[in-house]
Amino acid sequence: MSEDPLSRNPERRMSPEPSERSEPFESSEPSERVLAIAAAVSDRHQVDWEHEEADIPEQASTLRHLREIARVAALLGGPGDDSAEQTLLFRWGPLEVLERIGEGSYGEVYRARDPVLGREVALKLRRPGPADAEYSNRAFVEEARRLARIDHPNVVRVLGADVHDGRVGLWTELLEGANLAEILGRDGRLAPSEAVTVGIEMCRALAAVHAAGIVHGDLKAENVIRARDGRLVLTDFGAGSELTTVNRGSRSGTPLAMAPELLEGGGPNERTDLYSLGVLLYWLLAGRHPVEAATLEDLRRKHRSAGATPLLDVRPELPPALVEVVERALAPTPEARFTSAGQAERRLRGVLAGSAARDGRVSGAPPWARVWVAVTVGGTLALAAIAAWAWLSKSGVSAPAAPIERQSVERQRSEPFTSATEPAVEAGSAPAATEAGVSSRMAETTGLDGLDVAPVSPPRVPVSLALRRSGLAPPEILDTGSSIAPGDQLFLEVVAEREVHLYVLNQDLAGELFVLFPLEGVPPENPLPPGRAHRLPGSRDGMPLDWQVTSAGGTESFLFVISEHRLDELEAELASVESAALGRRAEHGGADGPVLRGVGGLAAARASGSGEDRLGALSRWLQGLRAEGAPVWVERIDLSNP
Amino acid sequence: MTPERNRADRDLASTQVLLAGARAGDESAREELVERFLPVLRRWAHGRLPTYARGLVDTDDLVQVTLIRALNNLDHFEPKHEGAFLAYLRRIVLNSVRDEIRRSMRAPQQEEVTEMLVDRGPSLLERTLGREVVESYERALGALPEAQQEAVILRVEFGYSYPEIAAALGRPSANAVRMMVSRALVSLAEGMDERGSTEPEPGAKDEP
Repeated sequence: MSEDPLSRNPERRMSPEPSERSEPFESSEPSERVLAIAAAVSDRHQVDWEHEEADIPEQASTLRHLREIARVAALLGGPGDDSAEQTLLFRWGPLEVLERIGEGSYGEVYRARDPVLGREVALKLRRPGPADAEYSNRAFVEEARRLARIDHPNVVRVLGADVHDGRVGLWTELLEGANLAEILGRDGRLAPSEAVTVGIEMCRALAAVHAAGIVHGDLKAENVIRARDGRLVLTDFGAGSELTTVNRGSRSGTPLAMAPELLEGGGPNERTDLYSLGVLLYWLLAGRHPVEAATLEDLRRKHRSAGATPLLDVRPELPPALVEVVERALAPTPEARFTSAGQAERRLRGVLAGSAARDGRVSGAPPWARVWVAVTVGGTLALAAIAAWAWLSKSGVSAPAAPIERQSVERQRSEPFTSATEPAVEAGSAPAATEAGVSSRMAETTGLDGLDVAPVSPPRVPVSLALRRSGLAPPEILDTGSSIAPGDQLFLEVVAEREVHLYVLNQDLAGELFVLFPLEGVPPENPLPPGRAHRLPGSRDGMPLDWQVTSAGGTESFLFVISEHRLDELEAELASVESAALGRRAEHGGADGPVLRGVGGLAAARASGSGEDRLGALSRWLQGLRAEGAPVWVERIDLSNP
Repeated sequence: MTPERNRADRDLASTQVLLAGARAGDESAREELVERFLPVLRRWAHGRLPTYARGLVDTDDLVQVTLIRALNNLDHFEPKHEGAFLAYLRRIVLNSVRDEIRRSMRAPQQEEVTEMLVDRGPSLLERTLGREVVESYERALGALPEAQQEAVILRVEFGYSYPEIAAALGRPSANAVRMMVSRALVSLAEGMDERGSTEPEPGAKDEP
């Protein structure tokens, strides 16, 4: 069991009786080990039960039942990884071929089993070749061996290649999941942030492939798989053989995704792959190809004449920086495109950074400057808060025993996003983002799109939020990194797309937690009706109220929890937390009208960091809700209050 | 490289439409639903139901009869998604087996039922795990929140892949479903231990 982080804070005031405070902050969190075993059972992987039981004897009874569940799964749910009852189609070299799972121009794909390693693999068997088969077989195996040296989470792992019974084959990890074409077909066009995430990960994949001296040659949505473990994986290197034949001048890619020079007989190279990346992004965003045609000749003609349909003609609301990246990748002349996958990746990261930097940073920004990020980036922001916890805990602010989700968050962040916590802003693309607060928040946002769990199509955050400082015209938007001072008056603008429950919490560095919304006797109350702007905390006798900063020292954290349903557990927990109270205006208060005390309740005399535990526990709980698919979103803003 | 296992992907969009059609009396929609769900249910029932070595009604027939009854009864059940529909079908198949067994106990004079049950043995599951274990599994499963129940049933009993479950339950991502199933399995295992803590998770509905 994870140690309750709160139990190490003797000063916490919110729950005087720890034993009574069991939900939600101290829900019986299964240990990471037990969860991992449960995941293995669910994945139908073999578990060494004797070993596990000896290792964690205190969990023996849970393990015993998990083992029984594993047997239920084996008996009812069909063959798992370790079942011996699978039908053997045939043997190919060392592999037992079990099931045909796909077919292409190059040959067939099978699910096969490697009995030595005890794992299932995907085996591609090439069709018997023409006269120069022997040569191309040799080249194929050679090429595959180069592929096998690529070890990158975004590139399908090639496990081996060989020739048996006159047939050339290549085997790779078996990826289960949906490809992007299926996802798009199911969920429709991607939000900009989702497409950018795909783009960034595919740039990384291409960089790894190109570094190995290989050209993919057929990058398209069907060849990008969102694997079960959440990775976006580039697959299908045309079975390698086609790489060889492509290199020798023939065309094997998908014409609509091919660079114009390939259609004219040119050879593939890094820049033709990058063109295909542009087509992929265009397709994900627009739901169609940049140049569409019924025949190859028609396609060539259109490339020569009109070229690509401008992306903004298809989706005018897209951020211009993103459109620019896509269109540069699609430049008709190779020289005008990105020179490398790394360069394209930097530009895509700049798009994300730029959007967050624009978001609310600039004084006098339009009233709903947050809309693009809050609504369009959606799932990204919803999860940004969660990554922030992981980051905070790594930096030692809080170090509770890590629940498994957070570990997986960190692991995933460290794989595809090795530099996720570093500011990743290309010079000139987003000057405002160089400020520490924004860049670190940005970095988390960047890392996040890839982390969960498959946010290729997360539900949208159904609200847009803008935290503002009143008294200025127009009221200044505050975001992480902004400074506030005693006397400042803050309010929140909220527009909900549908009915939501909103909870606004404030915590200062001393650990004092306040409920800023909802407040008793101050309408509106939850749920907030959709379709119109709310100014929170609300009003009293018709007068709009602000929150007022009543102390200085350190950092003020604002947590915005948005849920489609009333969060009873949270409300019960917050009942013991002090609310912002109607009070006297500070001496130098800005605007007229009554104010609410409560942002920063006490002077920062207490040990710093003690309060992080409270929010950490809260975030873990919310994270659990999200993991179960609950429509809950969290956003956090940290303001400095020196 | 993509395994062709996108059954749920393919079907999700139209399952609701078909159910609506069947409810409105559209015969072809009913047929399509039977075609879609009968094989899934039969495969599951193979291990889950008592084996009838001989008799008037075999497992397959029982499943088919139950499915058709369920489709006749759609006015009383409006599943939110494919997953809920399958969980519902599973429940009524199990119930009809229990009913038949009970009926045979009460009315041994009914020749055909008796005959049907003469050779009824425990299900494959019960033979392998023991009746007690299966009962505690059922009990603990019933105590899980509905969404977790459905996810566990789809994964453990029907062998759906995570993307299929995500589609069948209307969840955003396969990985979230995997996490959800893993957590649900821990709760389930804990719930199976009568001596241990069986406190349900927040939001769990009361045990019936």
